[in-house]
Amino acid sequence: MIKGLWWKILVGVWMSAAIYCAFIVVGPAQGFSMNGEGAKIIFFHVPSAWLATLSYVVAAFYAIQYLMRHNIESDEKCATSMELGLVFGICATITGSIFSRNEWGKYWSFDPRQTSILVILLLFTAYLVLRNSITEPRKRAIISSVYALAALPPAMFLIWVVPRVVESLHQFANQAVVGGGLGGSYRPVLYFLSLPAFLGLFIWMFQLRMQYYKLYLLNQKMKAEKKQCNLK
Amino acid sequence: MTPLKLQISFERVFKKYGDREVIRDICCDIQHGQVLVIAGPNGSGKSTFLRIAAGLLKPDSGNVHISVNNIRFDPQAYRTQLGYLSPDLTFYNELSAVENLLFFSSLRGIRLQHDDLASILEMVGLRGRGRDPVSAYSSGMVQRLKFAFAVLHHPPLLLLDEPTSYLDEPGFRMAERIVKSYKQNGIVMIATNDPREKEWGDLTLSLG
Amino acid sequence: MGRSNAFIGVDMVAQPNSSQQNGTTLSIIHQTLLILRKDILLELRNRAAIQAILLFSITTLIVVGFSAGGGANLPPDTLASLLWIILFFSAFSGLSHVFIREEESNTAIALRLTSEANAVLWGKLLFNTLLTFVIIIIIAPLYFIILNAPIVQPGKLVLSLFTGGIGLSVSATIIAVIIARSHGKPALFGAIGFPILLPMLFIAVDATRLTFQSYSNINVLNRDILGLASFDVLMIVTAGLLFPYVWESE
Repeated sequence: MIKGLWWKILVGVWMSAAIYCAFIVVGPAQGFSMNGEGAKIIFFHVPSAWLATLSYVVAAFYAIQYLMRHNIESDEKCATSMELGLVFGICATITGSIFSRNEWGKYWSFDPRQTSILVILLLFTAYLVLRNSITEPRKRAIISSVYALAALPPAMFLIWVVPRVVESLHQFANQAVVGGGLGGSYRPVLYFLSLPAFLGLFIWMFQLRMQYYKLYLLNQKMKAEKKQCNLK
Repeated sequence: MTPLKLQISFERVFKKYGDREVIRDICCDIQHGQVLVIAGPNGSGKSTFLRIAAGLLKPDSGNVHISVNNIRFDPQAYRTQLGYLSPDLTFYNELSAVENLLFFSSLRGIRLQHDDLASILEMVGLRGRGRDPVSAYSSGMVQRLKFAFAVLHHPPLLLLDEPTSYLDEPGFRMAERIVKSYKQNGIVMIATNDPREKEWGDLTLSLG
Repeated sequence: MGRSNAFIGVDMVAQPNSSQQNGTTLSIIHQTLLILRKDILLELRNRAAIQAILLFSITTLIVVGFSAGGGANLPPDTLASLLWIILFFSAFSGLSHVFIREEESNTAIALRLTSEANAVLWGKLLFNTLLTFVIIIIIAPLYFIILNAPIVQPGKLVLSLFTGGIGLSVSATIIAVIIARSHGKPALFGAIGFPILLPMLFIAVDATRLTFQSYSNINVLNRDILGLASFDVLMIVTAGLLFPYVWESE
C-alpha cells in the first residue's frame, strides 16, 4: 500500500481535470494568436513559473533550517528543492518561449521577465555545480546553504524589483491574467485546477526525491556493515 | 592579580570525517599544572583532538569545557586566548617575523613593546633575524616563529601539535624549556610520537 | 633561561583575559582596521590584485575605445552596459584574491586564532570596497573621455557608480569567501558570482544609462539609485549574518 495514496490519486484527478478544462472546456481568448488558442499555454506556463519561484523560497527555508540545526537532512531537502526548481524553471522557460514566438514573433526577446527566469535558472545551476564540487558532506551542506541564502537578496530583486524598473512586454500578458482581460473561465481554471495540481505534483516529486535519498543512505550503511563483516 | 586556575574536561567527544570515526568517545580531565601527551599512530586523530580543544573544529557530539577559575568557556569562545602550534599553521610570507608577531598580537589587543619583542625573539632563538621576511626563513626557523606566535600572549593553555619537528638540538631544548615553564602556569597539551617529548607528559592519552 | 622565565612570569598570565570580557564592538572595529591595514600592506608589497585588475581593465578599455572608433557617439544604453561590463570583470579578476590568498597560504588558521569572525569579514570588505573605488576612479573618467560620453547628470552618475561599486564589492566578497572555503576552485568564481551580481548590474546599467540622457525621467533615476542602495544594505546584512558559518566550517 502506498503511503498517502488518496492524495496522490487526487493530484492525478486534479491534473487530468486541469488538462481537460484547458483544452476542451475553456474557449479561445480574444487578442491572442492562433485564433485565441495560443492563450491556453498560460495554464501550464504560469504554474511552472510560480513553482520555480516557490522552489527557491522552500530551498532558502531549508538552508536556514540547516544553519540553525545542522541536520544533514535539511541540506538534502534544500538541494531537492533546487533541483525541482531547475526542472520547473526549464518548463517555464520553454513554454514561455513558445508563447513569445506566437505572440511577438521571437522565441527570445530579452524582456526583463525572460531575463529573470534565465538568471534564476543560472542560480539553480550554480548552486548544484557548487554543491557537487564539494565531497565532504558537512562542508558541502554549510557552503551550499550559505550560497543559497547569499543569493536571496539578488533573487528577491530579480523577482520584484528588476521587472518593475525596466518596462516589460509581459505587462500586457500579466494584466491579461491578473486584471481579467481573459475570458471568464480562465482564472478559475488557472487558480483552482492547474495551480493546485502543479503544487501537488511538486510535493509528490519532493517526497520521491527524499525517499531516494533515504534509500541511498540505507545502501551506504549496508555497504559499510558488509565491509566490517568481511574484515572480521 | 590572582593566579588563574585552569581545568579542561572532555565529555564523550566524537568526531567523524565522512564515514570514518576519527575520535570515538573520549573522556578526560586535565588539571592545572599538568602536561597531557596525546600519542598514537598516524591518522589516529591526534591533530583532530587538538583542533577540537582549540575550538577550531566542532565535535559531532559531546562537550569540551575549558574552565578558568571555575568559569566555563566553550573552546570557540576561548580560542583567541589560547596558544596553538601545528604543522599547518603559517604566516604571511610577505611580512617579516616581527610584523607578523605585531599584527597577531595587536589583533589580540596586546601592545608589544620593543623589549617584549626582543626577549621573545631571544627566547625562540631568532634574535637578529626578526626583520627578515618569513619567505626567507628555513623550516626550523618557521617552527621557532610558531613558538613565538603560540606564547606571545602568555596563554595559560598551550596546545602543541608535533612541536619539535624541524628543530635542531638547541631548538629542542628551547621547546622543553617553554613546556616546563608553561606547565606551572596552566595546562600544556602535546600531540607527538617522539619518545623524548613523551617524557614531558604527566598524563598520556593513547589514540588509535 | 632566567630571562625567558621572567618573561613567562605568572603575573603576566592573567593579562589577556581582561580583554576577553569586553571582546565587543570596540575590539571588532579595532580588529577590522588592523586586518584592513595588513591587507593594504600585503597588497603594496606584491601588488598582485591591483596589477591584475588594472591590466585587465585598461586592456578592455583600449579595445572598446578602438572598436568604437574613438569619439564616435555610442547610444547611452551601450555606453552604460560597456562601462559596467568592464567594471564587473575587472573587479572579479581581483576581488577574489583577498580570501583565496589567506586560504592558499593557510594563514586563515592564525587569523581564526586571533580575531573575531566578523572582524575578518569587515576588514576584507573594506579592502575590496577600497580596491573597487580605486578601479572606478581610474577607469570611469578614462572611459568617459575616450568614448566621449555625454554626461548630463554628473552628480547622479557618481551616485550610481558609488552605490553600484559597493554592491559589486560586497557580492564579490561573499562569493570569494564561499569559493575560498570550498577549497579554492577559482574556476567556479564566475559561474557562482554571475547569478548573484546580475540583478544588481541590470539596475546599475539602467541608472548609469539615464544619467546620459537629458530627457530621462528623474523619478526613474532616483528609484534606480534607491534600489541599488537598498541592495547594498541587504547584501551587507546578509554577509554579516552568513559569514561566521562559513568561516567556522572546517
